[in-house]
Amino acid sequence: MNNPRTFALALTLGAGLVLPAGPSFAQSKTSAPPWGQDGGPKIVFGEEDKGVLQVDYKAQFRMTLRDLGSGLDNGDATTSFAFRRNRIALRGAWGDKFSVYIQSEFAGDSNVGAIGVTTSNGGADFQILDAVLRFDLHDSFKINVGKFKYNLSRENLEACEDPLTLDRSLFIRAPYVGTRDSGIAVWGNLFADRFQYRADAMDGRPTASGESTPASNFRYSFRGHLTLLDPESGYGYKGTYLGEKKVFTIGGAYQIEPKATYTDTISRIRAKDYKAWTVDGFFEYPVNNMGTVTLSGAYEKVDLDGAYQGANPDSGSLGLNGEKNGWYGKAGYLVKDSSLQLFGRYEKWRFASLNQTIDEIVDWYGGGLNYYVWGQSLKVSAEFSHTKFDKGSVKDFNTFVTQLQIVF
Amino acid sequence: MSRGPLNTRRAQAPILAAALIAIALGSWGCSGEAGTTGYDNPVTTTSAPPIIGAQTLIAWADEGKVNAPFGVADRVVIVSVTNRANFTSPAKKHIPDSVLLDFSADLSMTREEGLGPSGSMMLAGPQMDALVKRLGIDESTTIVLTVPKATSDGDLYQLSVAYWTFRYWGFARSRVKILNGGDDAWEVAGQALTDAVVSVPPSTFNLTANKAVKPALRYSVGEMLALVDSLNQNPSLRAGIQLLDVRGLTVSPYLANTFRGNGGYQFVLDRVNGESGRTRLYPTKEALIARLSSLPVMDGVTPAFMSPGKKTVVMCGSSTSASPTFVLFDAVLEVPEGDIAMYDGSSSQWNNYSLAKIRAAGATESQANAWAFDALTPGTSAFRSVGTLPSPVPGENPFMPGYFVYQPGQTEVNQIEASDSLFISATGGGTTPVTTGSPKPPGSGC
Repeated sequence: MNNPRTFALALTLGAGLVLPAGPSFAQSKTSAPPWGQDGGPKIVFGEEDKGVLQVDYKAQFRMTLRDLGSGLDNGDATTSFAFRRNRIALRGAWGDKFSVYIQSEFAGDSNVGAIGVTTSNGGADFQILDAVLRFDLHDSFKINVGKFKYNLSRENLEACEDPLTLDRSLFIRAPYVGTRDSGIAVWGNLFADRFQYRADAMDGRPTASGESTPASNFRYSFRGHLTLLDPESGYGYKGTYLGEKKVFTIGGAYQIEPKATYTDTISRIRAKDYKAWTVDGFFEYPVNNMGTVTLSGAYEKVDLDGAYQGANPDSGSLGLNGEKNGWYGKAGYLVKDSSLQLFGRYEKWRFASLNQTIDEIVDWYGGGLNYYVWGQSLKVSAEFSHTKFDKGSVKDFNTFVTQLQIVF
Repeated sequence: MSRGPLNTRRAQAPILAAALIAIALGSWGCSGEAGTTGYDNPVTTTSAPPIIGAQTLIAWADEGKVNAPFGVADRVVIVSVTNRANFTSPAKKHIPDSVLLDFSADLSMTREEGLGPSGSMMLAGPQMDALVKRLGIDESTTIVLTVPKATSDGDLYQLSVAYWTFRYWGFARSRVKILNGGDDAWEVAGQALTDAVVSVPPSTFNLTANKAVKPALRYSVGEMLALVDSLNQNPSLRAGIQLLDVRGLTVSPYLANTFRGNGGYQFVLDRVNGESGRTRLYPTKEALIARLSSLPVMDGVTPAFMSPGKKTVVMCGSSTSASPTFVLFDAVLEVPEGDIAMYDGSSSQWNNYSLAKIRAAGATESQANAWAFDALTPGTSAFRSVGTLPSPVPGENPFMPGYFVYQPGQTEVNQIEASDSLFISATGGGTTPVTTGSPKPPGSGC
């Protein structure tokens, strides 16, 4: 730690963010907030009250301390307050067959990234994060249309208000898209909800002229999971069910987009396909007199057919979201009859090209706690992590984050 | 649906097992590369600079990259640009496993553009496609151009023409290299030469895989007319573009607004091992920038200096002696694509575009004014060329009195690039929209 005084100050501030929220409010991990478990205000309308519209507010406000990234040689500690998520969601439905979900995002300056600090303020952008029309025609056949989460990794499909660890993996995102994409998905549950299938056709790499993209093709995903014990039958997963369900789910997915990138962007030749596959598992079980144990892990491989080897590869085929493979494992323990959940997480990723370094390996270790004041509706979390770079493309660093979450 | 909490005693075994598995997984995961697969370094042959030294090529040869199987990302084909006599000469020999590009037969041709045919023009699609296949070049190949040892300056021009030709036909700068110093550099590095001719299997590579030609690397007669007119009409444009005719500091006639340079090797001064009998060496980027600012060219009667940062168009007599300057900007300075171009028609073409020759072939005065380089730029009192264009010689008018290959009133001025673009875009590269001209027009050569 280059600046112990700053680090100590930040620790104190972080503790200050976490601790006051605790004992005076806490009752148990499942305590419902005064405004109810189901979120914000609800409007019922239409004949036979078939119409419903609900407004929710969701926020994750965090303080981040990293032991480098600032100062003359970027060797000094970095501190940041920012909204990680700051959302207003509209949930609407007409009857039980049709619903809509629209969610806006106005997060704060995300200047402290997974492996570095931005050179200038990235600013905050308002965006419509989700806008999806849902047709629940049958439990075995449902259709989603619009902008929503694509069907590759379980990790990305886990609701970010219900994570086990502080946040989802920093390294698991697919190339050329964010966490959402635009398109259409069909999905459903079969065999008494034991098996779930999903298939989607999405925009993939955003449409652009041949100056930057070799072709305009859709990106296709296929995902399935087998869920034992209590089923996971929704479109979104959770990182933890806080011991309210017993879950054992294994899944896998495959994603492809033909001609997604050039290996030579200057000559605009040698187009390469994007392919990815993943397998994942999730286990959570409440045990008498012990509390609830959660284990989860996944492997993911993102393949751009060696596009990084080209003379002038597309920047999107490099870096965190470019060609890579790796895995994570995470474990949690919710103390019995308590609002305290301890968690740990380990990730190992191998990147084709990261920070101009070929075949860079990143090890990420993290551990921390969640303190559920009113379930996921009001929660404070703290996580300490260490990020290690095998070839030293970036100096190893430590990060400490405290976070307050509210879902209203 | 929930089944209630598990009994502690019954749960102890699986929980303990899960914990042990987690610990084992964690321990395994923390070690090295566990659970991941690695990535190879990028193709080294493409990441090398366009001008390579002998040691680089020796390393590639030692690594088995020369004539490696088709499809191997790092494969290299060494192309010796010379004639068959030199290539098989027991005295000169060649680099082992290199293949011959016979410049006298393979590298240029008479083609029709503007009003009629011109010689020493860019190789047409069918010929280029056949050449690439015969040399064993595929889409994964890095091409290394070389010349026999003790090569003449004239022969070395052909290496530069070959470089320009590959680049125009869609090969990326990263895929076309020049062995600096040619076979001399190889020999001085202690490597043996051979007179054994290797037989390489032809590739099935199709030029259409390169997607498009690079028309920005070449100026047609129509583009030159437009460029000269725009500079005459707006001389301030010279702040962003420079024209260089390398035929000599006092050569005449020459195009308006054009620098005259002191030969094709004004900036290529060094030779392998410092020996006068050996092949010339392209300079480093730093040396070239220094030479550009210290070795003057002529702007009319005034000494001037070439800029390394301006868009540049080079020309000569018939696009051979200008080609080293193209290499200097494209391969040594690595200017942005399109910031260096060669006018392959050069003086052998524009000297035919006189009012007298075009009128003699039947054009009206206004039609001739649109094409002639000794005419005034419309709206100005500036001529398109400086000096007197050659007089017509009976029997040598390329436009043939009473007959134009194309019509003097036509608007199509860029037929070669149009034809080449059509060829490279055609499925299979099999269309042949190219016609060769006849008779061959007079030209001075360089």
